[in-house]
Amino acid sequence: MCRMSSKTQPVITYSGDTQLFSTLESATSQGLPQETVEWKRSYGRPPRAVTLSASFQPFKIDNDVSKELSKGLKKLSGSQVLHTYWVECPDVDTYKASVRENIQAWFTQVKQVECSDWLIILVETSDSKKSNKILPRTTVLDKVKNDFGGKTTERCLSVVDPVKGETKSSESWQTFLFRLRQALMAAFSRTLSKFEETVRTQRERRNELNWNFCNYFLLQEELAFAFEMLGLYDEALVQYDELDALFTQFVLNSAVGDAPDWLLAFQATPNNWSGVCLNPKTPFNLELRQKIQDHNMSVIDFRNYLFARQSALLLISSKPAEVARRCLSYVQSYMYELKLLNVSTVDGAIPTWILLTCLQVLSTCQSHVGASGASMESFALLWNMAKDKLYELGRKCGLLPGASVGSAELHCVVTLSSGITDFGDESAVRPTPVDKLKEALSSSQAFTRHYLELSELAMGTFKHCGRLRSARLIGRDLSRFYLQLDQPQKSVSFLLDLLRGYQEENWPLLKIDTHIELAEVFLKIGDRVRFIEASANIAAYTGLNSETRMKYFNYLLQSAQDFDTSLDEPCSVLCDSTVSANVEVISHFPGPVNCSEVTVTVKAVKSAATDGSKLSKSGGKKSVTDKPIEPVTSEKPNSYVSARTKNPPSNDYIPIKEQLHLKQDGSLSSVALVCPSAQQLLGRKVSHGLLPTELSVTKEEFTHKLSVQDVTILPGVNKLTLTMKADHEGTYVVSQFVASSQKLEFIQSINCPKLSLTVVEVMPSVMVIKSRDDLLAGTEQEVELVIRTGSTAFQNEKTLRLCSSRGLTIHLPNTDTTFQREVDLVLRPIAAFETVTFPLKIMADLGFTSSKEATFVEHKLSVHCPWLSKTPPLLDLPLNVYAPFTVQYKLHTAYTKKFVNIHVQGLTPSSRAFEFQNPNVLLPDSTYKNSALSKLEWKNLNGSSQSLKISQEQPANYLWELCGAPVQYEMPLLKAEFSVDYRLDGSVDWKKFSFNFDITDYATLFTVRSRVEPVKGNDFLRAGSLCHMTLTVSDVLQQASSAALMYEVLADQALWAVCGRTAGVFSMEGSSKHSVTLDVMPLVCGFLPLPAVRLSRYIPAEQKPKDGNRKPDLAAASLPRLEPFSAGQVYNWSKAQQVHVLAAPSNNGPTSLDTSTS
Amino acid sequence: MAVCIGFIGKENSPLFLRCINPSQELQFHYIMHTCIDFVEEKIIQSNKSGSDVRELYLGLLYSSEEVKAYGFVTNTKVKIVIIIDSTNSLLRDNEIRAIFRKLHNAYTELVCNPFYTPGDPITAKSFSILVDELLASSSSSS
Repeated sequence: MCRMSSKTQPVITYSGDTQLFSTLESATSQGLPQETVEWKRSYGRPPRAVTLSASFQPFKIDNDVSKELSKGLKKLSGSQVLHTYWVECPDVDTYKASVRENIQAWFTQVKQVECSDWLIILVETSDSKKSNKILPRTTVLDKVKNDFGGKTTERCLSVVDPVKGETKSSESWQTFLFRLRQALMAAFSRTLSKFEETVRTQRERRNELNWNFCNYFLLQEELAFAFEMLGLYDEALVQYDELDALFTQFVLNSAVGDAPDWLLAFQATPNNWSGVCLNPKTPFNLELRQKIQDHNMSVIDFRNYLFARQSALLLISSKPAEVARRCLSYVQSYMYELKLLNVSTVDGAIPTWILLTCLQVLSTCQSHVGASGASMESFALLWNMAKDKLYELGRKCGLLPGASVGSAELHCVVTLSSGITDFGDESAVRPTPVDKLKEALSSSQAFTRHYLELSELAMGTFKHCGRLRSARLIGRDLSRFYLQLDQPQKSVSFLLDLLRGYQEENWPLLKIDTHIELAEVFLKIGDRVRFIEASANIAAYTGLNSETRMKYFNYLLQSAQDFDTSLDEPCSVLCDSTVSANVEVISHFPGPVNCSEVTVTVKAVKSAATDGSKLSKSGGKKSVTDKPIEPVTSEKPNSYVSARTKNPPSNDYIPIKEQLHLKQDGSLSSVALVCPSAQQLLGRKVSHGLLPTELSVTKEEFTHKLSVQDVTILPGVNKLTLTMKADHEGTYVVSQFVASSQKLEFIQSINCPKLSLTVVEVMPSVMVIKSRDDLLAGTEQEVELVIRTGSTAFQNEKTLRLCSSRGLTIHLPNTDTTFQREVDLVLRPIAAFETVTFPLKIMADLGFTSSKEATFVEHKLSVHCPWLSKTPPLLDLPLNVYAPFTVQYKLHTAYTKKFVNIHVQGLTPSSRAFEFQNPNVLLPDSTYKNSALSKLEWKNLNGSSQSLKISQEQPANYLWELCGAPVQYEMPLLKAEFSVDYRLDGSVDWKKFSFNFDITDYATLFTVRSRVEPVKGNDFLRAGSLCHMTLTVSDVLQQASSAALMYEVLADQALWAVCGRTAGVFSMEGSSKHSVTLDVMPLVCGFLPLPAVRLSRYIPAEQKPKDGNRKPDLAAASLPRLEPFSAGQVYNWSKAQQVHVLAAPSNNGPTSLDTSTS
Repeated sequence: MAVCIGFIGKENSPLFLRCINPSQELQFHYIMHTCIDFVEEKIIQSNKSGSDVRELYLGLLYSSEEVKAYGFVTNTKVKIVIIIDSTNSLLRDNEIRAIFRKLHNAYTELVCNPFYTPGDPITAKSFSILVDELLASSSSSS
């Protein structure tokens, strides 16, 4: 690696036996960096293992250096950190004779130098060592240690000369190298500390007048070099980062205050904008560094140098992603710096520089990283930036599509090119970014190619790292570019993609902006339908300013006017109408051809799910060019005509089938659309294959054709009008042109599926339309019968017969008929697609209102439609008629008095309330013939002549007392009828409503009275204490019924506890009263309802019930059972009574009973 | 100097966007929309790190020559984005955090309003006044 390593390495001096050292020098300098050595560092920084190498120089005293050193260390690289003395001394005598003096002289000199770390190395041969083993401390080494070592005897080493190649020497040599490394490290560390001190001092002086950043930069950079040499790349990077930050701070400060003089030098106009050079082979740009030394550089040069050094260190530490990431902020902060420093640049120089820097960084990083995903984000942003800058350059240099190149633009290209130089790196991958840029600037086509390539890369990288929105945004730039290129078709997909994204996430403003661009594109393409669609979207967006909206609104209206002529849509005609087509035939025959018939056949297209009847045919205008070849003169009537349609074929119909996939249980699993001939359709179409070859034309079978009889086709252009009666459903496309002349047929395939026609047949329909409210029974309701003719006109008068279901009657207003179940309706002839409305009045019976469940009845209106094909031609129209109210009957008892209550609940809203008056209850005359019932009469308790309004919110109740009922056990059934006059609020006529109901069990047989009292001695009821409950049952009729009765006390278990039996059987025989006393205990305090008592008839086992009509089954007859009384037969005096219960006694205070009736 | 403040809903639709210069609104819409990419990326990264208490402040999302965008995401996945002018180096991280805190509080208060349906575009007057004030104060402070 061509580094500045030789300059940055620390220097070890050597003295003494230089000849001896020269034999050892290479071994030593190679051996040094072979192992790491631990570096213990000052200021609490963690120790690091480093590799240290050194260069050797002969020792000599340099007075200048020593003087400088006394002022502080100015230079780190090449400074002498360790002094060594090499000597070979076989025995002590020689040592004493000369060697000691020599060492002494050297030692004195070393002491004068500030870096006074030293080592004395005694090179031995192994035999010399052996001979001196007898006496201790008498070897030469001992002597040396004694004379010079002082307290640091480890500075004196001995080593067996490895050159002599003895076995023992290797071990000794390794030990020596270890000691040498240790010593060198210690010495270097000491020097470094001193140097750091110098750097710090210099930095402190940064606000002094004569301080210069360039000098300081070079000084601190030495530290970086030293760290780099030690392999501490991160530490080296820190030095550069500090310098970077320092410089940035100066620039920022200069913006608000005075700039120091040295900074003014940086404001020089740059003359080179080739971008950062990241060539890994030349991590030092010596040229730039020299400029720094000369204080003669622009800020662009300085930044380039700094960034290149930072990148180089990052790349060595295998962090290419970090390079890309830094590059972004570097470029941005750099541009900001240029602004702050007011550096004047050539127009376009900055974008060029940015573009080249981005490309350099990208190509370098990608070669390092191998496009791993981790750094994709930064790469994508860099590609994007490069793309933008290239565009900017293109604009400046007039290279954009459609731009014209004038002299100003040419001048710009020339100026920019002059500032771009290659870095002279022959090994770089071609084409380098510089080559690319130069090519891109050379021509508009090249520019377009490069711009699209960059966009593609940026988009692809964004997509790769999942930034879909950013990728789509590039699509926006691309779509604009394609628009400029006049290739609007290519823009569409980008814009639609954008639009989809914005629609998904609901960004209205962006959506509309995209619509605006789309509108422009569609306008260029001439896609009117989508243009109108986009215009409508824009015009309807309220967030936009009104001029724009108005503009597109006007487009919209304008386009709508031209619409019918501009659209090439299949046209639709009605069934049974006549279709005509204009055909232009060019005959190349030299003479006229008499044709008995000229036809254009049409072919049915099977369309999925045709629910109406459709027929299609070629519509609109059609141009066919015939290019006849010589008719074949044979018996065969078929002559061949080859031809070509003017409209290119497009939008072939694709046969698609529906496929249902069913699960095992027959339920639907999935539905698919399948194209059975996909392979055929997807196959590559060879253009010449589109035209039929001569032999491929055969006459097709056809049933539908447009035709014209007896025409003469003259040479040249003939305009024919062909007609057809569209009478069959289906979608048809034009198939062949056939001209029949006597026995010849000229056939021409017309390959233009766009020419198609849809014939629509819509069946007439009949509907009943009611007003907004539900239909109500019992009152006249208005509905409308709507008849739509569909595609067929009703030529003759027709009679529609309407039949209603039972309970529903119909009336035609404006006729003198009454409500009846069958009505005839006369239809006058009606044109196609017309609607005729007949007002109808209907009236539904109220009979169902007594049943609680049914609130509506489904009636039916059957229409006898003569056009229906089924027999009988009946069309059933459902009509739901709702009950306006419901009626309920209830019998109430007060001891022996009986009251009949009719409850009328309205079901309509109050806006459609019903009005009631004249309520009445009647018993049929036959009732009075029964002598027992002859005294029955009704006592009316309702207000006379009062009318009530009934709605959902407002029910009505009518009450009559039934007087004069006989007092006996078996009461005959009474059939009563309730009648009332009603009308819908607001209508005039009163209608009568009657309701039949049966009255049973209208005599009170027994009464029950219950009381709860405290036990004797207590005055009050208390929760938790026992008390007596007395039931008294009285026989009202006093007819001494022999029937056994059963009582049951049904107490709420949360309130009452009943002690003992809760039920019992007793007989009233012989007495009219029976009393039972039970013990009950209230569980809580407060007003408690009394326990309920139920009285039932008890029928002992094997006894027939008194009711002879009942036929109990055998099993039941053998067991005793209960027969409940109906509601009117037992009257409970104590119903709803409450007793007051006090809280459980805390002392022996008085207790009270308080009974109250609520 | 903050030039634009935007709120983006849980489903990535814009809730609110206010900028100092209304003519730049469209441009900021585009930037905001692109910022969703960066927000999503940062959320995935912070999910990977697996710390329980998620830092709501996302830091710098995006920077270009003109603007820098900072992001913040609430626990309900509502994103807040502040766009500041690139030339402004005086607005420090801490101050941006403070603005985000205020915006978050304002949003919390808004959501407490029973008449506001979360996810709807924000039209509340008090809210927009507050955002306007923040925009004005952050731009005058620099």
